Amino acid sequence: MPVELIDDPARWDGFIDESADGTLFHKWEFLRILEKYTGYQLFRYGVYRGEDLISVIPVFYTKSIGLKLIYSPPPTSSVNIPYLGFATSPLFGRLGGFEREECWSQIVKEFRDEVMKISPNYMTIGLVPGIRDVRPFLRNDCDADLMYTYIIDLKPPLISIWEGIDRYCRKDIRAAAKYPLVMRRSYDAYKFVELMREGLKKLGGTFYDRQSPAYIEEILRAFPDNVKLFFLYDGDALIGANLVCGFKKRCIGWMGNTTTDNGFNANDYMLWEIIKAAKQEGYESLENAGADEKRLNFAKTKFNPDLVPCFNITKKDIIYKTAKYANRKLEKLVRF
Amino acid sequence: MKIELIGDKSTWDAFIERSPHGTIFHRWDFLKIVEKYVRYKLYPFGIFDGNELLSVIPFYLSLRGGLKMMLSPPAINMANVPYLGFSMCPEFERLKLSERADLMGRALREVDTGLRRMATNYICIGMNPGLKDVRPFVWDAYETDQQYTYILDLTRPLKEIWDGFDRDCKKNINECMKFPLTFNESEDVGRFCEILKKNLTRDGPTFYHRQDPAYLKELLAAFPDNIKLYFFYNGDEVVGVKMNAGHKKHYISWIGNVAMQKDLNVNEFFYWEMIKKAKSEGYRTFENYGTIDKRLNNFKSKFNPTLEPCFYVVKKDGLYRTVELSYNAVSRVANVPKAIMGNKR
Repeated sequence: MPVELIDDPARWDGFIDESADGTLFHKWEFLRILEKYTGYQLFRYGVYRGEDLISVIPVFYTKSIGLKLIYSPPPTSSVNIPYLGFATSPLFGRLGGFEREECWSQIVKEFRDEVMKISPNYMTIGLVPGIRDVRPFLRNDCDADLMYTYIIDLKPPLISIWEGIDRYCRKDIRAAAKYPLVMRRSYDAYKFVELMREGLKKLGGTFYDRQSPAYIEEILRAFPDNVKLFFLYDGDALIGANLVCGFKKRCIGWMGNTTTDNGFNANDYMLWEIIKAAKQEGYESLENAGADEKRLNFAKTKFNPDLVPCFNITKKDIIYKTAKYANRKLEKLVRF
Repeated sequence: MKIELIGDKSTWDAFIERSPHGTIFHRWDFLKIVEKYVRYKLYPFGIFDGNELLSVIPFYLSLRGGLKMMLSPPAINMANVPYLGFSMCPEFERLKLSERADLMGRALREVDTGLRRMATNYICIGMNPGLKDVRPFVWDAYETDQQYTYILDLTRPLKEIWDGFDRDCKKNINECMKFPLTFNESEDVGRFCEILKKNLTRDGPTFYHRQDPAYLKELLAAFPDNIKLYFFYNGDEVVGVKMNAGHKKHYISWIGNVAMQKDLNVNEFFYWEMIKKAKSEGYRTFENYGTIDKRLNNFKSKFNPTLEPCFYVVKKDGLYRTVELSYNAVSRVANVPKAIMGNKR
């Protein structure tokens, strides 16, 4: 199975559009924006099975204090992308159990062999939630961290979705609806980032503090049909914001969701409004990330989502481990 | 909530029968037979809310090098039990996600408290594949080890199951039909173990080398309706052996099955026969456990099963970590001369 770099945007995007694992984050233009705002070098790899392009994976390469690092996606603190990694072709999806496992093992091995030519000290791949078989990575000296995400099924009638929501949450939404709340679409990325920075001030340096608002602005401009920014107003006061990303039949509540205390639960109200809007636009699922955080567990499950596993793959060599260990010790010393 | 040892077989078995996670391996007699042959003391814990039994978990205490290890199940090469762990009350699956995570978290805290009182250094739990949310364990500082099992859905029509098989697999099964292949039930565990020992010699000391065949004999006698031993024949020649276990609506292709006849793929044929038999007996799922060994995966995945994740969770205290670190360091030092000699050769 040869691995080659792909330099044809139409071919790449055509593949991503057809792939069951292809997300908006995989699109050629989205990757270009990530490359621009991280300053990392982007490689778009394609893995072939005979003449057929069977899988693609975009990886970002950078050097930091002499260490070679490979990311797919780049760190959350710089781009806030939940996952990226491999996308596979419809042909792969049609393979039977034995052939599919063999093919998947080969894809992973061939990619690993190719990327090892760069001699990275550290590699991390966030797999999309549909990919569950991590055995080929484990056999290739990688570690796999199990994570989870919440996905709300939008296929049932709206009334069924509403009835599946926690009783107290429905009560909160009904109570919030008595206020003059309006959700409006916006293109003001700067205002969004300012609101998020203010809301997450106590968490310290977040993505919103580190990244320029121009990053979000450029994404909004590049994907007006897919990425939508919503502001929630109580009368004239801006009380919440949410950046929603829709692609194919899947929608992700990507960023946002902070509100100031107004005496009612604006978060739940806003999420319900987004569910209704996503369903109306024909999306079949809405992802509400953050299932691994215990403090968010109760709030996120009020909407009766499915718990879906996903994996983060890492590979660290001895130099990286030593450097990390030394760095931790040094930080302790400095704090002391 | 409180944790207590359960000493009453009928209470335990009644709970296991009602629990969606209760397996044949959780049954009281099974646990006691394992205790007898593994020689680890059994601790069948129940977690109660008032008088209501919410969960059970059987542990085996292993003492080694001064360390106390609580295992559920014991090591695979001792009892060949693939998973054990928590079995939750029937209401558990009807709860909402957050409530399920909360209940599992509270049950786990009780278990931790109980095991801490016993000065346990190491806890290892192999979870039933039905329990997929390991976040309560992660939040409680357990390490997780991702594993998989293969499960075939038997509720589909037989033709659909057959059509899903790999092309070569179907061809091999059709080829086998030209031969006088038969199978029958047996109780000859001595011969079963001998055949497996002989065929698995190159894999080193396996379960069959370590364990007394009387262990399997007792299991067969204790669960005649659930556990069955089969011998497969080509004419008069034994060409395969298999021990399977069925419980509730779940059938597990448990132990055995070696490729004894190299020129004919009889394993695929008999595997198909077992699938048909399980389906005709009303089982809804057919499990073929063990997906780490790539060589075996190539066989198992031919039947187009679903790859289901399951988990082992482990917690180590400071003493256990220190001993483990020292042991690993000594092992590395001890292996240096071997490595040098190996290189020289």
